Order: sequence, then structure tokens, then C-alpha cells
Amino acid sequence: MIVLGLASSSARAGTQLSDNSTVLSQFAQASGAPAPRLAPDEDGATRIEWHGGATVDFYSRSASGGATLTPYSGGHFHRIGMQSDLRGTASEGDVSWAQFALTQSDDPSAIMLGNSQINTLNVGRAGLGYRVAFGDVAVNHSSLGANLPLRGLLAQRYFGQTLVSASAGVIAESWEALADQGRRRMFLKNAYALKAESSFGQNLQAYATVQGYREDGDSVGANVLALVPSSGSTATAGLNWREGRYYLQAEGGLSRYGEKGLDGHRDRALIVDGGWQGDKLGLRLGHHDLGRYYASLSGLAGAGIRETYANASWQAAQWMSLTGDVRRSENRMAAPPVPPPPPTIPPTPVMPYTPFIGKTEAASLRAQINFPSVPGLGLGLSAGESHGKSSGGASNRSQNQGATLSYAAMAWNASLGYQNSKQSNSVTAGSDSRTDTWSASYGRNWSDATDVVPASWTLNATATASTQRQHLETGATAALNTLNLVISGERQPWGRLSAILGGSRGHDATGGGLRQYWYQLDAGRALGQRGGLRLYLRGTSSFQDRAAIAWRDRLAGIQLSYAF
Amino acid sequence: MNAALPLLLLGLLLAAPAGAQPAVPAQSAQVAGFEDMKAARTALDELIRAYETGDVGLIQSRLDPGMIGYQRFIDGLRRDTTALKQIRLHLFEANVTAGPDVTMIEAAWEKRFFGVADFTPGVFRGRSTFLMHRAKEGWRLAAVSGDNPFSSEAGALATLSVMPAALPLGSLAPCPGAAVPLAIELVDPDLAGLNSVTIELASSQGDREGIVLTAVSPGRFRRSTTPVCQEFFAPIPGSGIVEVNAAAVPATLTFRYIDANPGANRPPATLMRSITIR
Repeated sequence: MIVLGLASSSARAGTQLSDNSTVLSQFAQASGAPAPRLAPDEDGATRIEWHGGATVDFYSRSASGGATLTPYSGGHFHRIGMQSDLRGTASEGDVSWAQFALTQSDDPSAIMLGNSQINTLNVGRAGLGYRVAFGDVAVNHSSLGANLPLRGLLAQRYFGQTLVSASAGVIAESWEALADQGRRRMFLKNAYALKAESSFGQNLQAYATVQGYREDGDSVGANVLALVPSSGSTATAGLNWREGRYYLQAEGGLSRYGEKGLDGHRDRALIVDGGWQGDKLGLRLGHHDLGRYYASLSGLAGAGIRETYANASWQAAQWMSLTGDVRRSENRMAAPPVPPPPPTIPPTPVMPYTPFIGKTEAASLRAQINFPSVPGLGLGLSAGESHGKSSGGASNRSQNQGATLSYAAMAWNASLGYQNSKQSNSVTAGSDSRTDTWSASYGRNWSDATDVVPASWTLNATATASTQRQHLETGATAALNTLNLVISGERQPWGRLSAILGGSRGHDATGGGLRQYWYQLDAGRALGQRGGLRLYLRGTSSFQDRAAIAWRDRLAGIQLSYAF
Repeated sequence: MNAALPLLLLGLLLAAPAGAQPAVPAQSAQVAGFEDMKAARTALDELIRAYETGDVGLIQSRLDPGMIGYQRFIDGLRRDTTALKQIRLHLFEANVTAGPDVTMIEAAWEKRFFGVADFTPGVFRGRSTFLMHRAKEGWRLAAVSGDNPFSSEAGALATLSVMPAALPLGSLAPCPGAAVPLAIELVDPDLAGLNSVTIELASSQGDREGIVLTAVSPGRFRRSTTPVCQEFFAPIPGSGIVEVNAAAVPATLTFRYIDANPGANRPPATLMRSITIR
């Protein structure tokens, strides 16, 4: 739960600097951008600041393999990124802002539809006790209510001890999709969200939210979507409590959901999370119960879940920490959904297929041990297991164990790790298997730094290797051995350079050989105080000896950048 | 929903005099900036690389144990890393919005992979909002809204397509008839690993049949022909053949699939496609 911070009239009791600082924090919270450095003129007039930047890339790419194997296509492309941040700070501390960022490119792997995209469009004003923003606004009301980005209007204001927040707008894939039906792949969703939150003493806050949405079925072209447009509304109430080492967060919600022309559903949700934080021991307990038809505007509220968990972190000794987790989880999406009655004829049952597992019990334990007698030497251990069953008799089982031994000294570091996992699922038995993975790495760094003089040049090199074997229950085995080398260096005032070279060999479960290699070279240097130049070259070649799955891409480009 | 109500409330909020209100303790908020956005994006990219390499342990260490649907997410991750090989997740240009402790990254994505059993290539496409929260240890993934690229079980909206959009009555053979070139494709990443799925076909004349689609790659189910025939009496539901009463055309065939877990925090959603027989 994110608690929004708004300045209020009480801030006037502090110094002018304190007020401004609070307002700038609000501004940063509202706009999602750095707060401006406040330097009021001597007469206290409004100060206007403008920051921005631009990058231009030109690159050539060759690609083969087709759209199923690679997102890239060949040709000469460009990419232009622009960013502007205009702010005005009034003498009383109120901040107005206008932010805009745009990307333009003719590379179809950069922008999915069209050749330009607005990354940010945001204008607003914030002051003592209020904030209003228009454009890309982040609505952050509660876990079960509204928690999503919206293209619209956001207004917040304190009324005494009560914060009231309201938002209305459209949920769209992008500004371009909002303006152009041809670039929509989802319905436009008209949405609103309201929240009132009040403090009761120092330790308790309580809040209530109301929100709803309706998808516009005519907002996408014919045959673009097979989805039936829906609508939903939710009301929630919750509290946050903290006293000393104890804390508790709880929220309950009721929702109504319906698809156009079909019967609607009412459902409910409840979440409770609490804990105790000691000096060396932290305990967390929680219970989440969300109905499968619970519909909200919150990205946090996944529907169809009932779970209870306990989690503990314990600094058992100065050299050892332990983390344990046990949980029982029920995925209500696993049950075949109740078919809504069709508009014209009586319903028949939908086939109860699903690879989901209904109820799962899981436990995991992690330990981190640092050997005091050998500074820099550490050992990480982990183990976990889960069992699941569905109402249809299906079951799954997952087991995993791992250990990593690492050592870090001033000029070098190394690690050796092993992971083992076993997966089985009676519904998708074709991929039941056991996987063993070994990995090792060695890194080294060099520089001319001394105790009193900072480095004028640095050089780092890291080599990693891994080998993985997957043994399927069918008797087949897949294997992959990978080697990767990364070298990077920087010298003042020349610039920086990094290089990556890697490859892998192995075979898939059918016995077919797998060969890949990749490389990357990236060099950059500053051009004056505000400019930059970057050259890059990279490529990947995969499975060239297997025509059906062979793909390759190579790219060379130059980037110029300028910031003001 | 009446849009006028929230707009009216917004107007009232703005019009109300703040100065007349009692004092409220000012809260100090952390300042979010472009560096925070970059750090959150870097943390997301790290999770993507971990997903591609099957490093479930790293992803698990970056999740909040209190995340709603934590176990479903982890179960899906483990199933993906077992059943899909050579995963590559490509994010298109993203829209990043940051607050003091939260960053929302909206992006379209494509996921390419090979099935573990036969190394058949596959590709899923979707659009997600990644909700990142700032914790003591750095940025953590709090939730994925929309189509979840990390964890098939955690929900991605299916797509259903039927071609062509119309069939002439003359192309249908008399019952029991033969299959007509009516192609159906369903892509549901949540069902990767299943060999077949059944969708429902209902006609405006009262017929209702289950149509089986076969997996051509993980999560992609297809058939190129459908058993549809014509006759001159009422159809028989559940016969395995879609009978069209030639005396009552035009008729509509509606294909329906209920996506049990469509993502986007959406309850089970109905996908429908219709074609006309005339």
C-alpha cells in the first residue's frame, strides 16, 4: 500500500523551505519525475525551469528466420527519442508542470503499431493540500480498489484530516490507440475511481473506495477482438494500523461484473496482512480471498485466489540468516468456469479442461551463511517443495534445491552453484522432468586507483559457464552448455567500451543439435558537457544447421545524444 | 456508469477552499525521478533475463511474499521453465510512470520459445502493465496486470479466430456430409502443454456442438476443417456434426470459448466469433 503524501495548511507553520520541499515531493510523486531544484528569485517571482534531451539512433540490421523465431526484420532504421520537462514554481510554493516524451522510429521491433509513440504526456499543478494532474496519471488507491495507470484526470485534496482522491479517464493501450481506432487491440475502457482516507490518531488510517469501468464495444474495429465487452464496479473499505513493532493492513471489497448480453456476477474479496518486526526476527502472516468473478481496477487484485501464508526472516547469528515460507493456496480459476447462458439458446457445460492446479501447499527455506573466519566467503542454500491437486483428480508436484558458494576479494570474485528441480503435472505429463544445472563464474577487475587517487582507467572481465541437463520422464534428455565472457573498461577522458562474447552447445529432447553464438561491442564517449556519441555492434546466430528453426540477426548502429 | 458524477466530484474537489480546513500533518515523500524509472526498468529487465534463463530462485527473491497470487505465479513460472525452452521475451517501447515508491511500466511484448518435447517454435503476444514497488532491497515486482508474460498460469487473454467470415450454403454437402474448409485457431498461453481443447459451436437454428482443436505448438490450437452439413429438418444438438437447415438460411454459427484466466484482473471472459451461412 502506497500512502500518498500531500502538503497541507499545517506546513505553513514551518519555514518556507520546508513548505517548498514538501510541495516538490508532492510534485515528484504526482509527475513521476525529479523534483526541480528550487532557486527562487530575490523578489519571490515564479521560477521557470526547462529540462530535456534527445537521442538519435541510426542502425542497420540484417535478420533471418521469420516472425515466429525473431522479432527483428532487416533494413536501415532510425529511432528518435525526445523528452521535455517544463516546470514553474510560484512564490507561494505551488508547482505547475508539463511533461512530454515521444519516441519515433521506423523499426517495427521498437514500436508495435505505427511509427511514433507518446511515452509520457502529463500536465498538472500541486500546492498546499491539493494536487490535480491530467494525462498519464498513476491511480494508487488500494490493493482491491484501483491501482493502475489511467489516461485522464486525477484530483486530490485534503479536507481536514480526510484525503479525498478522485480520478476519471480512459484505459487505453496508448495515446495513439486512444486517438486512432486502427491501432487498438483492446476495447477502450472508461473508468472512474474515488477514495476517501482519514487518520484516527497516530497509528490508524481507514479508507473507503468506489470505482467502476465499462468497456466500449464499438471502440475496436469489426473482427479485431473476439472478446465480449464487460463492465464492473467495486466498493472497498480498508485500514492500515501500525503500533510499535506490530502492523496490520486489511481491506474488503464487493464487486459486480457483467459481460454484454450475458448474466452478471457478484463477488467479494478480503485481504489481511500483518506482522511483527523485531531486531533480528521478522514475522509476516496473511490471508487473501478473492472470488473468481471479483472485478476491480487494481493490478494487484488477481481474481480467483484463496491463500494463507506465513513468512519469517531470522538473523540467527551474525554470520547466518534464514528465510522460511509456508503457504496454502487455492487457484479457483482451476475449476471449469460456469458457462454464462448464451443469448438465444440454453447452456451446455463447457469441457472441464485446465492445466491449472486447484489447491497447492508449498514450503520453502533459504539460508545465507557468511563465514567469519574467511571474509568474503559465503554460502547460499535454498530448498522448496509444493504439492497441488485439482478437483478433477489432477495433481502436480514441484521440488527444488540449490546451493551457491561465492567468494569476493578486492580484485576478483568467483562463484560455484548447483540447482536441481523436479516438476510433474498429471495434465501436462509430456514435460515432467528433472533438471540439473551447474554454474560457475570468475570476475576480475583492474584499475590504477590508489588509496588517495581515484581511478583514471578501469577494466573488468567476467566469465560465466553453465551446464544444464533436463531428463524427461519419457526418457528423452535435453542438454545445454553455455559460456559467456563480458569485458568492460573506461578511461578518462577517452570514454568507455564493453564487449560480450558467448556461445552455447547442446541438444534438444529429440536429439537435434543446438548451436548458438552471440557478440556485442559497445563504445561511447562524451561530446562536450551535454552531448554523447555511442557506437554499437551486436549479433546472434542460432541453430544455423537446422533450417526449420534457424534464425540470425546482426546490427550496427550509431547514437547521438544531447541533454539540456 | 455515468461519467458526469466523477467529473462533478472532481470539480467540487478543486473548487473547495483548502485554507479553511484544519491542519493536517504533512508527510515527507521520497522523490521519484528519471533515475528511479531507470532503476525500476533495470530491475524488470533483470527479471526478464532471469525468466529467460529459468532462474526462478532470483525471481522468487525479488517478489514480496505478500503478493496476491504469489504461489500461482511461482507455479506458472516453474511450469514455463520446464515446458518451454530458449525463452526470449521482447518488450516493445514502454510507457513508464513513476511515483515515490511505485513505478508502472506499460509495454507490449512478444514471447518466443520452443516446446521441450519436440522443440516446436511458438510465439505469444500480449500487453502488460508491470507494477514495481520500491523496497529496502531495491525495486520489486508487485504485480503484472494485463497479459502475464512471466507465468502462463497467472493469466493471458486468449485469441480466437475463425476463417472465412461467411460460407455459401452451396458449399455444404448434404448431411451427414463432409468437413468444410472452416479454419479455427485458438491461442491461449495458459493452456501450454495441453494436447487439445474443446470450444463450443452454437447455431442460430439451435444446434450446439463441441469442436476439438489440436495443439500445433504449446498454447496454440488449430483445426483447418469443421464438420458442417445441410439438411431440411431441425438440427440435432450434440450429434458431432453441425447441421444447417437449408430452409431457414441465413443462419449464424457462433464459436465460443471461455478463457478461465484471461489476465488483466479480469474474471473468466467469453470469446466469441460468428460466421454467416447464406
